[in-house]
Amino acid sequence: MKNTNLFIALAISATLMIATSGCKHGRVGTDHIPGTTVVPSPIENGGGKDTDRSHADRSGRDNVNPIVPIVSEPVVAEIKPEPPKPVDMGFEGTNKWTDTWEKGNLTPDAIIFEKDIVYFELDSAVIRKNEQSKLEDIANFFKTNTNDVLMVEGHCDERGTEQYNLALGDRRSLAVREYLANLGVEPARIHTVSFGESRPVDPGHNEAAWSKNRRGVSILMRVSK
Amino acid sequence: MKKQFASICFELALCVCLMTSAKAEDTVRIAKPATYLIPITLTGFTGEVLSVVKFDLEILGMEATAPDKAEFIISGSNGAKLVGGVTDASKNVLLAPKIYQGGSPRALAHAFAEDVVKQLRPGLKGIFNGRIVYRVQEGRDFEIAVSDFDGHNAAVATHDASLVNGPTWFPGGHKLLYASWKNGPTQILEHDLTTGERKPFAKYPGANYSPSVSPDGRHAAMVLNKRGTSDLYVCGVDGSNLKQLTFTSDEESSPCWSPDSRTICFVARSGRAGLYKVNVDGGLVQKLSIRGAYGHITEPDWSPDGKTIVFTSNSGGFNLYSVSASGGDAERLVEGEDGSWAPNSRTVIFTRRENGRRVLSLLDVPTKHFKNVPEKLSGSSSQPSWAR
Repeated sequence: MKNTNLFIALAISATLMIATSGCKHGRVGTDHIPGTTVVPSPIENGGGKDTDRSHADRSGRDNVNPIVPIVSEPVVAEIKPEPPKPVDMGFEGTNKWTDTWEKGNLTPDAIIFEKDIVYFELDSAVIRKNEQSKLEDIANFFKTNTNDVLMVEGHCDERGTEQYNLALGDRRSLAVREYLANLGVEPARIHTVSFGESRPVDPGHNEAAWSKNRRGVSILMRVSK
Repeated sequence: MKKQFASICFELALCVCLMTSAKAEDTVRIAKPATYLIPITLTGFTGEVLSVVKFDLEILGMEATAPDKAEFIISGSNGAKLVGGVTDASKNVLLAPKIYQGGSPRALAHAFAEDVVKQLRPGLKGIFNGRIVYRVQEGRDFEIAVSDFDGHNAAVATHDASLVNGPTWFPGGHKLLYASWKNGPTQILEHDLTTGERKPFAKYPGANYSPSVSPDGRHAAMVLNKRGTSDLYVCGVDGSNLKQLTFTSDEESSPCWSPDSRTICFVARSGRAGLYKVNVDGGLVQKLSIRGAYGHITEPDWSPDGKTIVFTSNSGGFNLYSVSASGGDAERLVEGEDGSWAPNSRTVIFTRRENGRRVLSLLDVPTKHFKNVPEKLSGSSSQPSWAR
């Protein structure tokens, strides 16, 4: 009898505990994870609308299923990512070596990264997964080579207008440049040029030719003096 | 000597004859709807004069037909002088006959054709002394070429054996701006056709291209990627006061100007390329809403009368469209790309792809009739721009 009473008392207090915890959880809406900074989103800080929504959530949980174990509740927390180092993608820093180039003191080497020509999908400047290792090659080269600079050419197939393709070639060369910069190559050492559709490797008018022509070509510019 | 005398006699006789019948009618103007293809017939002209007059009239919505179907008879003679006039076939009256002298047969023929257009298409600005600039490709080399609007008197203005893009005129038609790859980094060159002198116009870090001079000659718009992404910029025509007008992460291209030099229309991308407008002083960028044209919309050109913008729509093929400068329903004009308006706001010169090459063609917008520019230079021609 004593045992039965104790059991009932325990069961009631356990239910109460779980219910209050659940209620608390619903009200706050976020849980702190030890060791992380919780960054409330502007919506959670914001106006009446969102407060209303959290009330609705809470009442839903309280009424329909008050004894759901806490551990299975989704944990809503935003973990602030390590802020990426701001990379200035501007071209201001390239002036130094473009002057050298105009004076004819840069020798282009189109062979060394010939195997690293990046190919694009139609009307896209996205570096595809299977092309990424090519750019890692180039980035690795620049880890040990601190003298030379890089010229990235953007090319297109003939299926855009001439002016659109000039812009698309520009976007492709800039995409390669940005990818390399994110791998640690200093942007000031990478110049870009768009050739639009004017320098096809294959003059054919079919997909076999077009897929070869949609490319980003990296040319090493060796400083000769 | 005798022959010459005879020919002069004939000309005088013809002229007197033209003059007398024309007296009461030389101010009459016949207005046909702009979209109506006017049937004409040409008599009395020979050789180059005949072909020039015929070409000129046919690019302005007239069509040479059999004499019995013609509504107007374009008649006269050509020798040392050109005598010519227009007869309204229905009324059998001759309009504005004139004697033309003092130039090459070609120049006289253009002058006469201009007068015929004044009669049959009143209110249009003359275009037959017009000049165009375009890009000509021979193998891997792209050069700048300048010619009459019909391809005659063509001359290659550059010999860089490199790449050039987007030639455009300063108002007045004596100076050009274009992008050049000649020195390595892309820069915009200013090219004076009178003196042959060239100097860098824009040489900012990164790429410099797509120049366009405002009709009032005070500003130039262009695309620079010095920020690490291509944006639209504007500066004074002397290169001063550079101002960035767009701040997007995607690229802008192909700026052109409203005739009042206040607004720039250009191409920007959000998913697909479309037309946008911005004030020369900067501020809000507005999208031009266009219905009925699909795919990427690029290469706008604003008509000199301010009413219409032509552009290229690329959805599988390339088609030239027109749309009101304030947006709305687009109208398909012709298969082709990269249109440039003539000063008459009726004729557009554009590029056609033909057998793997590119040729220039002249389009009469209201009738949608076009004629290829007779080829005077070998290779491929594209990117025409009409001096305005």
